[in-house]
Amino acid sequence: MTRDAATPGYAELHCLSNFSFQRGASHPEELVARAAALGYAALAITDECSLAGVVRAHAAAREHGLALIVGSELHCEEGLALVLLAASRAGYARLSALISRARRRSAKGEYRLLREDLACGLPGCLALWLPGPEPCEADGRWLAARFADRLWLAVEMLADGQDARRLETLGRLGAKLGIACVASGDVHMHVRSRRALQDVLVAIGLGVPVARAGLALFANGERHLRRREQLARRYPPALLAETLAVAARCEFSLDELRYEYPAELVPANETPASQLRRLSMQGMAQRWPEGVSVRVRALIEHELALISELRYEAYFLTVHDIVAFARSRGILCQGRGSAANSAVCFCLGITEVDPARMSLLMERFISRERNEPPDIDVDFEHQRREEVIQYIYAKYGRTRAALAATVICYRPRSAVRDVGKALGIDADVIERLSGTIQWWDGRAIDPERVREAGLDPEHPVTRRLLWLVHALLGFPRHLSQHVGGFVISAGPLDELVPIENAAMPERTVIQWDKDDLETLGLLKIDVLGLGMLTAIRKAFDLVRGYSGRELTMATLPAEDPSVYDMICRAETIGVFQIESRAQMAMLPRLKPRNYYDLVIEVAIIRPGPIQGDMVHPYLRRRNGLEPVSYPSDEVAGVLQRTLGVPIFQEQVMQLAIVAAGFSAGEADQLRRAMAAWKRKGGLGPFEQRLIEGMRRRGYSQDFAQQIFNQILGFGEYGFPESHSASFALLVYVSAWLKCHEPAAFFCALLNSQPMGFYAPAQLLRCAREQCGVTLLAIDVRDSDWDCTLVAEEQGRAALRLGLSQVRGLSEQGGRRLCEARAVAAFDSVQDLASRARLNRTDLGALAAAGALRELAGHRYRARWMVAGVEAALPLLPVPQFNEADPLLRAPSEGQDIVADYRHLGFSLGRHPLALLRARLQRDGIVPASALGEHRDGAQVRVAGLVTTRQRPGSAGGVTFVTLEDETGYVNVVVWEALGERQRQPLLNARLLCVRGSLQRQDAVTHVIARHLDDRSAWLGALLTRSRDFH
Amino acid sequence: MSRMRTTLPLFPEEALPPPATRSEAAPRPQALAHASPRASVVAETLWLGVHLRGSTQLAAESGLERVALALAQFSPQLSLEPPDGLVVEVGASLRLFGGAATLRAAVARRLEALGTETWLALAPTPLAASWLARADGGDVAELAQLPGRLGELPVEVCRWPATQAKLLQELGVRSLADCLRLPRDALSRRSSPALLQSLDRALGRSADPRRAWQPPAGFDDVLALPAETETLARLIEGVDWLIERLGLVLRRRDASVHRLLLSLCHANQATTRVALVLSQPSRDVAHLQALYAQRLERVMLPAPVMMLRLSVPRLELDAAAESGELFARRTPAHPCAGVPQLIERLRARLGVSAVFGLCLVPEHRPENAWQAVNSPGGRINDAALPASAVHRPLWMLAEPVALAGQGGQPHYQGRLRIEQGPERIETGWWDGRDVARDYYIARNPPGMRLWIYRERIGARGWWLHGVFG
Repeated sequence: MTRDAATPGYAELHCLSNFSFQRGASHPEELVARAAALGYAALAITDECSLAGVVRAHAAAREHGLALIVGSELHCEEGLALVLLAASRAGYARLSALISRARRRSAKGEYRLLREDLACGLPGCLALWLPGPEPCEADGRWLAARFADRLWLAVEMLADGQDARRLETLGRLGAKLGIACVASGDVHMHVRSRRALQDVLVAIGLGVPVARAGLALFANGERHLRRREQLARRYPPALLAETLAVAARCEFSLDELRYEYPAELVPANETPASQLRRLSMQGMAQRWPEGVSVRVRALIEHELALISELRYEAYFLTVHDIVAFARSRGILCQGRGSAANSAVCFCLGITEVDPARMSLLMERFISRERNEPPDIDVDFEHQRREEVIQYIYAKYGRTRAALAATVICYRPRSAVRDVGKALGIDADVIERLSGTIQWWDGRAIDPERVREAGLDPEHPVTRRLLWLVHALLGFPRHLSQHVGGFVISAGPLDELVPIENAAMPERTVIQWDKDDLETLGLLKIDVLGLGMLTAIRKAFDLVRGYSGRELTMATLPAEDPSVYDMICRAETIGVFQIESRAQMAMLPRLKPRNYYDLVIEVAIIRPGPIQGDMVHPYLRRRNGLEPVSYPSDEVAGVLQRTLGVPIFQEQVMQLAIVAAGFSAGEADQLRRAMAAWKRKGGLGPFEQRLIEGMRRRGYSQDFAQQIFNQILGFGEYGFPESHSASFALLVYVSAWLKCHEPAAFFCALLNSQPMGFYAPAQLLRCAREQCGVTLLAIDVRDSDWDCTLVAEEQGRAALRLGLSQVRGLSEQGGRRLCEARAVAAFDSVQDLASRARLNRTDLGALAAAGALRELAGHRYRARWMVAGVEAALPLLPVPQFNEADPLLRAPSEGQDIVADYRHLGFSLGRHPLALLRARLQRDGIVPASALGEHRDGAQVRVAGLVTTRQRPGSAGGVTFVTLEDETGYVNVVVWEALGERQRQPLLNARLLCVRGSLQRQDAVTHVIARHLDDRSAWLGALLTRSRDFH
Repeated sequence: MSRMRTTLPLFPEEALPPPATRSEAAPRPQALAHASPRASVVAETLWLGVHLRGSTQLAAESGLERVALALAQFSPQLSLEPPDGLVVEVGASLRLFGGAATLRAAVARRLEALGTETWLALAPTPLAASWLARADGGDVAELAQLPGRLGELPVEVCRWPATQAKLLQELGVRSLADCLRLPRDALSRRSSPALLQSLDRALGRSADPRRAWQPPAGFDDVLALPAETETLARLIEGVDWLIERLGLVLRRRDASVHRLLLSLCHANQATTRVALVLSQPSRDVAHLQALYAQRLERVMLPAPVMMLRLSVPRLELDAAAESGELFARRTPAHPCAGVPQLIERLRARLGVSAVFGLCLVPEHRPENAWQAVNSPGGRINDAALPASAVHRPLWMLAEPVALAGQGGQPHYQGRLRIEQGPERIETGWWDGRDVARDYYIARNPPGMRLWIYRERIGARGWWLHGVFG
């Protein structure tokens, strides 16, 4: 940052980043880096009515040693425009509150600033008046009266031909009003070459092609960070010198922001520390009624001391309060994350993971050195999360609690669409190109793919398009709400960060996202929704209802061998996390026998470990096919629990510490770089340090390189052990329920839809055929709205399907039906219709679903009766008709199955393929159950309904298809080449025939497809829908 | 139709009745005289149902109307069943054609000539004929056979409204026999009366009065070229011929045209369409030919043309008297009446590109800030002026002129003295004509105020772009 003494110093005081959406054409980081390179004394980031980009700029400025000024450009409704700069913490608070006020007045993405908002003069802020082409003297006077010596007149020389005149006019005006003039640059981009992108952004904002944007575009590219020599030619020295004077008065830094935790959770006679200790001890007594082991006791004391030292008591108290609320309402919840699996959190009831079962060390997750807040995510029942959110708003008020933002950025598809439109490219062509983003592999553009989309990659328009798309990728588009990250503060939150309206009514978001919060060390609590928690709570309720047995997550029998037997057989449809195809394929190989095996199972089938090639070494070692060895005792300490293979994100960080000599803080930087390297690159410096560090400590080059490659593979998908531990508990609980209370389990799953991997059709099949659950059809005489349990002999329960499964039946109608039935049983369709006040749509849905069978006979008769129902008029008896019995033929079995699928999505009748079996047999197609008779490598033909299609990002273009027939499932692997050749059958077939070769390994059978045939026509009108996952 | 003939020429305008007799309804021979001996309320008639299969190029292009026009020769009693069918009463013409089989064959030939794939069916009621044709269900001669024969058809052929169709589907009713089996009143209460009505009509239990189709009051003609061609002269010849045919019709019907559409059909490409909208209706064949000839000069053809088609959706019956003067006299009633004709005529004589209007375009590049427009006579849009427009010279050079420079100083009739500037303009990257210039206002020794610029990239030369008045 050596400054050339000859050229005058300069601080840019008016600069927009790309967080001024559709205006700024450079990232805050780019602006900071450029300003530093040009030797600017300071840079103000002044996005329009927004502070969304300042934290990134702050982090970059820290790195580059540049003074960053926080500010904002604001336009009043009455036409007044100015830039406000935060000179002090108090000024920052006022600026943030002002932005919040203007934003909260408007719909998402807009703001309304009134002149009266500025009337207080915002002490602690400096103001630059942007006078516009026709300066209004009255405005100047008005501002001068309020800002006095904190007001400057911005002189922006942008080579529009009027510079000389402007300098003279504004000089005279300033002298007349007693306002000092200062140079500023109205910067919209860090370098001139972003001119085209800036034009495109403007055109996107206007919704017109660039060629038609006309004078809305800037005439030239002067609005960039100019060299100081250029500025010296443009501006009189006094104006440049004044920028330094303004910058010098801005003493505020975002580092001054101190988060203050809500205070109300600590009673008057307690301190946060004593309160946390008291609650922990209470919890401890409940968790271990027979007394606690010395080891656990020591652990708790150690953790409490660490929490006190880092002053995180209030954070734990806040989470505890939210969890306690959920408990009081019977809402199931479970914490996870770095601090969640601690003894203290177990005592506080935040998590159910017993520290006695795990060797988790709190210190691993809260590091003294990193000085960043602990991270606890709490999952709640997805259907009841809103109650928790409303509790938080009610308790802390909207001024103190808001959701974190998620910055929605340009992705290849949206970038192609917007740039394409801005360049006036034909909508069809844009659609074709954005529809198949295959030409985009994250870095470079494959010209062959572009040509396939019908564009000539050499054509100037195409080249412009691709260049601009490349530049636009990663640009922020708008702020959305984070799924559940709450920021809660002691004082008004809007003095810390601006709050704006989200798209959802009654939701507000702050202008910073979770990375920003992390950068500034601000506390966030993730309040997330998890379907499985809903299902587990409902299953507990159902079990209590039919058998009186009281189950809770904490008291469920632990480590039940029959549960692990079932898991090892991969009978895990419906079970949390391990129900996916990849997980099911792994279970017979990994053979989990205890809780920690489940922790590994949850984490290992992730893109990270798969791409890092950790799965097979782990399996080989586990099955004793490969010796477990460690290059050193330190490494053994880190990797012993996973047999020497790094599987968890924490292990990678620890390896960096023990083997390569990283500090904990450096290891954390590595974690962040890992998460971002695919998007941003930047692992380079770490590579060298890691490998050199390990070499210095005596590790072989091979080992060092292998560790680094594993880190690369991990990328952003590394799964933390701290999350896996919590998830594994839910895996165990749901598996236990499936094993021992299958009727309640499936009933709860059906009542919690949509969730999980499988549709009701597959769940019901599994319930009946794998778990022996008796299924009772939907019947208006017995079914409730939800699915219910009916006690059977021998203490078992049957599952009665609920009216909620009937497609097209309104919930109000269904519930009215149940109420009317509670008064008296229905004696006819007319009786049902009039007493439940059902409309034709609801009645039709019931008839079509076969729910009227016992009242009206088969589907067609039921439909006939329903169609003849007359609406009851008030005070008049329902007209009676003596009608001849209609000559309707009864539906065939096939027609019934078709109707079941159409109106319910599943059938309790035979599987549709059973009806086609003779025909399939003629084609030499074998049923799923017969695959076991074929040897590995045999050529087979299989067919079935396509239930899932999966194309995981980690599988290199392979599509996994699951086929279902009346005897079971067939797992089909479609390699990329075949998938491309036979795209149509692969993507569209509902009934798919596959020719291929059988592959068997450790009781896992696949068919490697060689040819696909779409046989959907055989299904007639049968509606089956595949769940497609990417 | 008064001029019933056994054969009709191919050209549709001759198939039209002359204007004077068009309003007269053609008497329906025998129809009312022959009361059915049975209780049936309809007369003994025979209908031919025609179902257009798929959508061939022709069907998509010209639709049902062309087929109707072609079949109008067989009977005046013709009624459309859009979008893909029609029924023709042929009972009256049977004797003329020598029986059902011959007539059927004649119709089939005629349709084949049009390139249309069809299914045909004869039945005593129009609806039955239409339904049978849709299912290719064969001919039915007697009313009494209808319930049995129609019963075999799937209910889809009736094309009842979606709600009715859905109800029947949910009742398991697949065929018309299933439907006919249901108790009549009970079905009526559940579905709509229209459903039963249409069944009654199809079965001849109630009358099915139909308005005879009238040929469209427009013009539509095709000319298949002897060989595919891209040659302008060939195309113009063809178009001239079509316009002459149009002229014939216009004269006969005392009409004019306002909008015309010329379609140039290619073998494997989307049809090229050249629309022409006149400023005022005209019937002047030569004028129309000249306008189209000019238009064709500017049309880019993606492929050779195999067929020409000229269509006029509507003929204007109140034609203005034509005058041959270039500058038509303005009448008090139409003070501007002459301007559009003047433009049309000037263009016809000088070429289209020679007559254009001017407008300002909101663009930073000075050479793009004005534009020639096709429709002269518009007003200048003030909003299109850039804020600094006060410094734009009125006289802009069509092409900037390079200035001689000595020692980096521009000269034009002497050394230039810069009075104002720079105004930097760098924009226009999107159309490949990106500019990067610094503009100045300069004065030369003779006292001319000049608008000059210096290139910011490349040779950094000086250019003269305009002269202030």
